[in-house]
Amino acid sequence: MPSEGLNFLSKDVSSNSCIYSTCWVIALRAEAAPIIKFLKLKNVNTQSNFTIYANEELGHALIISGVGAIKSAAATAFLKAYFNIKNHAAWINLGIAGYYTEPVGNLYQAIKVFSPVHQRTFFPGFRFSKIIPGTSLLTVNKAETNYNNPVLYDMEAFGFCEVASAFSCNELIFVFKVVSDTPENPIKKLKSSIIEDLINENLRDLKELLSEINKLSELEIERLKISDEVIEIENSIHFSKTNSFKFRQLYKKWKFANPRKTLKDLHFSKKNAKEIISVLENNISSNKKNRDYI
Amino acid sequence: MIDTVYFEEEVLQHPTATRVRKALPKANWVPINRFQELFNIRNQNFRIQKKNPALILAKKFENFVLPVPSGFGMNSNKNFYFSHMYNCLYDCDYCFLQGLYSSANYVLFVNYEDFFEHISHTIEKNKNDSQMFFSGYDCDSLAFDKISGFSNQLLQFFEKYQNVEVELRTKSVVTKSLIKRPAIKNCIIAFSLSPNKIAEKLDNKAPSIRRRIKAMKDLADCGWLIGLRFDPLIYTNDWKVQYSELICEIMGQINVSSIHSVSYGLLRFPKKMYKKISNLHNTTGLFAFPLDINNNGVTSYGKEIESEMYHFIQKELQRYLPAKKIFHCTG
Ligand code: SF4
Repeated sequence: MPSEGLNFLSKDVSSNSCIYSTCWVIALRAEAAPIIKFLKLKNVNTQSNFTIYANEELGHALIISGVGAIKSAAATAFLKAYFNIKNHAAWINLGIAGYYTEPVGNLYQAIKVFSPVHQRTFFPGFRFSKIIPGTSLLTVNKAETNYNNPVLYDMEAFGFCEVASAFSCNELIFVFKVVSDTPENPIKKLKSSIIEDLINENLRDLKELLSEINKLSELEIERLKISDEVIEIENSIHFSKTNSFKFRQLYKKWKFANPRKTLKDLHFSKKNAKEIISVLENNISSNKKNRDYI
Repeated sequence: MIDTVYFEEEVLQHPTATRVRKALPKANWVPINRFQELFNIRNQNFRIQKKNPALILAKKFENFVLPVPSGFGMNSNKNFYFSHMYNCLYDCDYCFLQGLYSSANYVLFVNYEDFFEHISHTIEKNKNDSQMFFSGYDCDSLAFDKISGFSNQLLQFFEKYQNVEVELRTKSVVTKSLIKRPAIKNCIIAFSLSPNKIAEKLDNKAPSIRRRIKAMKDLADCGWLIGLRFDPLIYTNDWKVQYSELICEIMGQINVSSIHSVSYGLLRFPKKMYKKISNLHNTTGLFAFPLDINNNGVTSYGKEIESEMYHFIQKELQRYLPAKKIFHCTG
């Protein structure tokens, strides 16, 4: 069971699924510290230059990427490969950013991420406008001091989006930024403790966001879920890619018509892919006209 | 309501954009270059996006008027459709737009004047044929009207072409703007309908059948011609009772003289589209039916059920209406 107070993050993940369904990519240790503490993440010995924290029970993993879009992209890819993260996982890039207007300390969701260098745009994430405002973000190569455009300025989001969007659907890729500097409070060397405070002060909203993200990835888990008995059969008999797709589709229809039965009840004799598919097809078709589909 | 409006910078000053801005004063307005950069992103999740779609304001440059797919039209020699909008406020399980687009965001093309210009060219070009134009092929014609104001401009336009018919297809009950103005005889307000039990389960976010029938009646009482569209027909074990009750209820409320036409079509998807749509849903009842794929690559209930439904519906409708008003839609 998840730790007390974090029950809202628990998921019904089937046994054939990767345990990590929320992945954080954060540039600085100071930005990550409040999340590590809040989610009770433990350091994982990766024997690499990347630092990873994780909490298996909650299904959260976090990597510290270092500063810059390339590092963020590399860290995202490393985390994916390290835990073999599945495509129903949510990916979150959290950090501090400059903003064209006051005040310092507000949390935003970046709903448009643009790189002037690459001249490309991402529109990441399901928008949570009821919780925090959405705005545009420019990923720049060095810290911004002019704040000429009505946007957030960071150094990682573009690299993160570029890689994460190849792993999960666009609606599960999130960029959240806390304003750390503005024209009135221009960038200066921010002490780690100040960065931690900026994140800590937004933990309440972050908690609400996580709860909503959890609901979305549960929907994806449910949609992509493959029943354990399907996996069991596929592991014991050879299925071509096409047959496997067919089998999984038929299984769903069969299960709808026979919610209380298991595949064992069908007593396959030869146990090859063709036979299984044909038994399912016949079974579904036999009584199709008399079922209530609505 | 809509929380975010992405707009092509070039359309910001267009009167339609100004109208939308007034209608959505609290929305977050975000500039973009062209709508495709957002609408066609790869790896989008239609189902999740559908929980909170954004509105994209764009300018259309081509394909303003297109011939309808074969089997879609009715009496006219030439049938065309136009789409001033992509996607719909409602969320019907069987909606083909989920298979057509990878985004659930709404795209509204603001340059209505260009649609009208192209429609008038088409009318002129085909002036020796009877013509019908369909609105609401890639959206619901009326559901977004409070924001878009499209139907009012469309009707003003078609008022000038009395010999050409236009159909607004809808499940919406937002009919105030139509009721306020005099009815136009060449305009058909066509309602998509299913039996109550089916609509309750599948026509998510759409007005109930009772409200749709009430809206039809109100419009008919004001002189508007009504179209009844039973498309797609949905199979379930007691479909005969359900459709027969629905048809009886409608005919009891709407005067036959107000009914311009009735069309029905069976549930059908191109094979690829069906695969995409059924993958988006975790086998709801609709997708649990073991559909057949015919030689033309169309996924449907199969010949036996189709023929049974076709004959039954045709017979039921003919109890109330002359055969010339009834059309079987296959497109
Ligand atoms: S009303 Fe029509 S366009 Fe809208 S969701 Fe339903 S089927 Fe699709």
